[in-house]
Amino acid sequence: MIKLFVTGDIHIGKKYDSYPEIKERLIESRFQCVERCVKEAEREHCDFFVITGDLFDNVSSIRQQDVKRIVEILSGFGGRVLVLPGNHDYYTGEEKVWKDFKNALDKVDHNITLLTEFKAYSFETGEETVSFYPAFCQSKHSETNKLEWIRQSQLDDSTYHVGLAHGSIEGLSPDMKNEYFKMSERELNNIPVDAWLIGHTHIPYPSDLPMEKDIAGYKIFNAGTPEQTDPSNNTSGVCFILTLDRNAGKTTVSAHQYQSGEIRFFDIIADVKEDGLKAAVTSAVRDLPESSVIRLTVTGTATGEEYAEKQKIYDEALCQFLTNRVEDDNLSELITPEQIRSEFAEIGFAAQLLEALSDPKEIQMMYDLIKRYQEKGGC
Amino acid sequence: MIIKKVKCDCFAGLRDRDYTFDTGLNLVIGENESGKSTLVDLLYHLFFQNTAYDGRKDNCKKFQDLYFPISTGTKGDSIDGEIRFETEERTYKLSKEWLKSKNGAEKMMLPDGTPIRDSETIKRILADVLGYGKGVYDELIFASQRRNHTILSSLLGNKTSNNIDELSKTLTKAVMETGGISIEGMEKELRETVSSYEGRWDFATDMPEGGRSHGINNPWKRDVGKILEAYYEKEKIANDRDKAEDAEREVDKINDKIREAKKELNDLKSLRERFATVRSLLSAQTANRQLKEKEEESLGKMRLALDDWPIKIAQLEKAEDLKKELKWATIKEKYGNVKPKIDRQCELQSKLGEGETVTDNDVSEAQKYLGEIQSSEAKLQGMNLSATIRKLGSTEVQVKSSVSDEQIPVVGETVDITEAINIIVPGVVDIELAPKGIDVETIFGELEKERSQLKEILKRFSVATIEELREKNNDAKELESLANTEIPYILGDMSWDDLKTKANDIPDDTRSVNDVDHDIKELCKTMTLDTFIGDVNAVCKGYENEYVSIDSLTGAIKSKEEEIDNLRSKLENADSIPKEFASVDDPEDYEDQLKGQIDQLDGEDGVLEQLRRDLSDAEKNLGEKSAEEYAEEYLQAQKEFENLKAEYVKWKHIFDVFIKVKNDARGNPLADVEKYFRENLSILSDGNLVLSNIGDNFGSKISSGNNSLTADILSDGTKDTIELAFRLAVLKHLFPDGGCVAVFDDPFTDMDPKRTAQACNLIQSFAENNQVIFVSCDEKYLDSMAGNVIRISR
Repeated sequence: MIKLFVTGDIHIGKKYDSYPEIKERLIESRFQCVERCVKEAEREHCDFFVITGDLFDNVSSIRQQDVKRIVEILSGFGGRVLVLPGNHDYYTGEEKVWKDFKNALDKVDHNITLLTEFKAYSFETGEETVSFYPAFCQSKHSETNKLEWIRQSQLDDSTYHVGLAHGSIEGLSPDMKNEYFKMSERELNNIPVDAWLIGHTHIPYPSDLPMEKDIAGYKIFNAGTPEQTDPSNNTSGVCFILTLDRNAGKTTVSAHQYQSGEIRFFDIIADVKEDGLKAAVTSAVRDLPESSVIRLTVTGTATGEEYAEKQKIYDEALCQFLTNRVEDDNLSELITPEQIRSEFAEIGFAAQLLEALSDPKEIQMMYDLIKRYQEKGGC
Repeated sequence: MIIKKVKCDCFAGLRDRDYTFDTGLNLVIGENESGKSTLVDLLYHLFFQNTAYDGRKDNCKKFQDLYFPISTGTKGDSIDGEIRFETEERTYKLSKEWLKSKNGAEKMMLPDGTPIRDSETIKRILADVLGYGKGVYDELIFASQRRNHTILSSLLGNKTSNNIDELSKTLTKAVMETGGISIEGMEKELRETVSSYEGRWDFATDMPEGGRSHGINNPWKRDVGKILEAYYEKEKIANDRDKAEDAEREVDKINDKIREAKKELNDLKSLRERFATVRSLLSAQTANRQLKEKEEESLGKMRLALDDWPIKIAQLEKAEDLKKELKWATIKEKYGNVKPKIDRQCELQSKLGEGETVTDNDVSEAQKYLGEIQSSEAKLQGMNLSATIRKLGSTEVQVKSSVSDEQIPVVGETVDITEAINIIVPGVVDIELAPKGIDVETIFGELEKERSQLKEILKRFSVATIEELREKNNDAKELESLANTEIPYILGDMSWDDLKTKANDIPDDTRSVNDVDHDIKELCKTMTLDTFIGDVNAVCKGYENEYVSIDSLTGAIKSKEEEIDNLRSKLENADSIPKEFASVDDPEDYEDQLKGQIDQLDGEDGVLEQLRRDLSDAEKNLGEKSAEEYAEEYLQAQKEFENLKAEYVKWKHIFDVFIKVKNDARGNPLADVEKYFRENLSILSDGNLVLSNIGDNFGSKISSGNNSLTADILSDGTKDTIELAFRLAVLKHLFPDGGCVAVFDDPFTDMDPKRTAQACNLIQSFAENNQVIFVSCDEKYLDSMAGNVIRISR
C-alpha cells in the first residue's frame, strides 16, 4: 500500500497587485499553506508528496529567496517529494526559477525529485515499487498534451503506476482557445495507470471527496489549488490524500481530501430589497470566514439615510474580512416624492423634473446633479 | 391653515413663552435680539424639524448648535415647543421636544383628541394639513424675500419676451425657478453631463468617431468623453494583454526551438559516444574493406587482361598477314593492269611497222579533199524526182549516177532520182538528168582533181580509204599514250621486268586488294592497318611489361583470388558494426562531421547560444504583468466601460424628460401669477412701476416714471418691492381661496416711507384672506397696519 499527498497550482510568487493593502499577507499565505500541507502529509504518513504543476507562478521573476524558502519547506517532508513543472512554471532547462530551484536543492538535504524527463520514475517504498509517469509542461501554452509517451509505454502488473499531468481537462476547465495541454477524461482513462494526478484547474475534481473517510471509484484526481488564488475559482483550497492498495494483482485507489486553504475570495452580490442596504449587505456576507477577500457588488435602491451611510454600512459589514472591494454603481438612493417636496418647492422645476422620472437611479442621478449645481451656487 | 397658538418652555433664547395668533394680520413687534426671529424659527421647526437625533446630518447638528441654550451655568439638554393650528375649523396640537444629541419626542393631538406620537405618522398628517411640501414653505411661506433675486433676473434679464404670453411664461419660469435653481443653468449642466459622456463616441456604430482609424493606436486627443476614455482604457489593456500573450507565445516558441535543438544536440552527442566505441573497429574494417575493394579492382583488371591478351596477339598476327597479303595483292593488281597495255603496245608497234606516222594534219588534209569531193557530188545530186520507167520491150535500160557512174537499181518500174543521173538505153539513148544550172562537166572536172589529191594522200600512207587513214592516225596516238603515259603511270618507279619478276613470286591464291582491304577494315575499323598494329602491339607490350606472360598472369590471378578470399574471410569474421554506422566510409571524416554539427548547435556562437539570447530578449518583453493578469484587468475595464454606457443611457433619458417637463411648463403658463404680479406691482409702486404694453423688451418695460430699469440700477427698496409683488402673487396662485400663512420677517427695511406704506397696504390686503405673521422691531408698522399685535421682549 502506498499513500500520496496530492496538491498543485500553489503559485508561489503570485504578486497580488490588485490587493496592495494585503499583498504581503496573501503572498505569505501561500507559503504557510504549503507548510500546513507538509505537516498534514506527515501526519497522514504519506509516502509521496506530489505537486502536479505550477508550484511557481512564473519562470522568470520569482525571488530567489522565495524559491529557497519553498525548497526548505518541501525538504521538511520525510517521504519523497515529486515536483511536476506546469504551464506557469514550465521546464526546458533554461528557466531561472528551476535553476534557482536546483541551486537551492544543492544546499539542503532533501528528497525532492524534479520531474523533467518523459520517462517512468520508479521508487521503492517498503516492499512496494511505484512508477510515476510525468506529462510535464515545456511551455506556457500548447495545443497538444504530453500524454503520448505514456500511452506508448508498456506498463506491467508488478508495480503501482501513477500518471502525472498538467493541463486542462475537457469539460472541467475553461480552455476556449485549446491552448493549455487539453486532455479528455476518456483519453486519461484509456491509459492503464492506476491513478491520474492532474494539475492546472484550480477547483477540485472530484469535488465530493470526504474530509476523513476514504472513498474509492475514481481514477482521475485534480486537487486544485491548496489555497484559493482569486475569486474566479471558487474553492476553499483542498489537497487530496490517495491510498493505492494492491491485492491479488488488482489495485484499489481510494481518497479523501484535506482542507488546506485559509484565505478565501468571494464574489458576492447584495441586492437591496425592502429590508434595506444594511440587511442586504450583512446577509450577503453572513457566515463567510474572516480570512476572506470580499468583492461585493451592490445593486438595488437604498433609502436616503442608508445611502448616505453606505460606506459606513459597508465598512461595518466587511471590516471583519481581510479586505474588500465594493462595486455599487448600480445601487441608487431612494429619493421619495416626499423628500423631493421637502427639499424643493413642488411648484418648482426641480421637483417637477424629479417627480417626472420613474427610475430610482435616474432620480438619484438628477437629484445629485441638482445638489451639486446648488452647491456650486448655480442659479 | 391658521396658526392659533405657539408656546415653549425653552427654545434658544425663548423661555416659557406663549403666543396667540389671530386670523389675518399678526404684528410681532419687539426690540432687536428680543427673540422675534427665534419665534418664527420655532414655528418653522415645530412643523419641519425631526425630533429624532441624527448627528450625521449637518442640519440636525446645526439645529442643535443654533437652538440649544448656551447660557452660562448648567446647560440644558432639551428644547421644546408646541403649536396649535387650525384648518377647516379643525384644531391640531403639535408638541415637540428635542434632546441634546439624543432622540427627542413629539406628539400630535388630532381634532378628535387622538394622540399620535409616531413621527412618520405625524409627518404624513402634517403633509395633508399643510397642503404643500416643506419646499414651498422654505421658499415662499417662511422665506425671506431677500433670499435671492431670481425673479428680477428672470424679469429684467429676459431679452426675448415681447408679448403678454411671454410675460406669463417668464413669470412661470420664475415660479419654477423658486428656490434659486435656474432651468437654463440646470439644462446647461445636464447637457454638459450628457456631453461629457458622449465626447467622440459614435453610438450608431458603437465605435469611436471615425471607426477603427481612431482606435487606441490613433486616439482622439480632445473632447474624448468618458465613454471613449473608458473604451481607450480597456483597449489599451487589451493591447497590453495581446502584447503579453504574444510575448508569452514568443517565449514558448523559442523554448520549443531550444528544446528541439537540445534534443538534436543530445542525439548527436549520444551518437558520437556510440561512434567512439566502434570507431577503431570501424577503422580496421574500413581499411580491410578498402583493401579488399582495391584487390578486387586489381583482380578485375587482371582478368580482363587475361581475356584480352590472347585476342590482341591474334589480332596482331592477323594484321601482319593482311599487311603481307595486301602487298602481294597490290603487285598482282598492278601486273594485271599493265600487262594488257604492254601487249597492246606490242600489237600497235607491229601493226604500224616502220612507215611514216599519220598525223592529225594528214587526216585533216584528206578530210578536206573528201569534203570538197562530197560538195561537188552534192551539186550533182540536188534532185527529188520519181521516175517511172515502163519498158516497152526487152531492151535494157540503165540508170547511172552522173557523179559516181554507179548504176542505180530500178525497183519495179520506179526509180527515185536524187542526183544527176544518166538514163541509158544502150545503144539508143543516153539521157542525162541534172539539176538546172549545174555545169556537170565543170563539176566533173573539179571532182576528178579532188579525187586525185585524196588518192595521193591515201597512197602515201598505203591505205585505201580515209577511214583507214584515220585508223592509222588513231593507232599512232594510242601507241604514243601507252608508251609515254599509261604504262609508266602504272609501273611507277618499278620497271616492267621487276614487276614481272615479283608477280611470278606471288602465290596464286592471292586475293584482290579489295578483298584484303575489306578484311583490314573489319579488323581495324576506322584505324589504318599500321596504327592498328601499333596500338595492339602497344597493348601487348603493356601486358608483357605488367604481367610478363599469359602464364605468369594466370598464376598472379590465382594468387590475387586467394588474397581476396582471405580479406573477405577477415571481414566476415570481424565484430559486427552497428547498422547506424554501417555506411560510414571514412570514420575520421564522420567524426569531424559529428563534431561540426555539435559545435554548430552548442558552440560559442552556436544555435543554442543564439536561441538563449533570443529567449533572454523575449523574456524582457514579458513585462510586469502576465496576459492572465491583463485579462482580469480587461474584464474590470470592460465592466466600467459598459457601466458608463448604461449611465449615459440614463442621462440621455433624464435629459429627454427634462426637455419634456420644460416644454410642458412653457405650454401651460401661470396666467394668474402674471395678473396678481401686475396688480401687486402697481399697488406697491403707486403706479410708478408698471407692467403694461409689453413691447419688444420686457426688461425695458419695467419702468419707473419715464425711465426704464435694469437690475443693476434698481435700488434695494425697489428690488424688495418687486420681490414682494412676486412672492405674494405666487402665494395667491398657491392659495387662490386664501388660507395661507405667510411670514414676513422685517421685510421693508430698505424701502422709503411711501413705498413702505404701500407695501403695508399690500400685506394688509393679503391678510384679508390669509394669515400673516409680520415681524419687526419697528413700531411704525403699528400705524401702517392693523392686526393682532404680539409684543416680544427679552
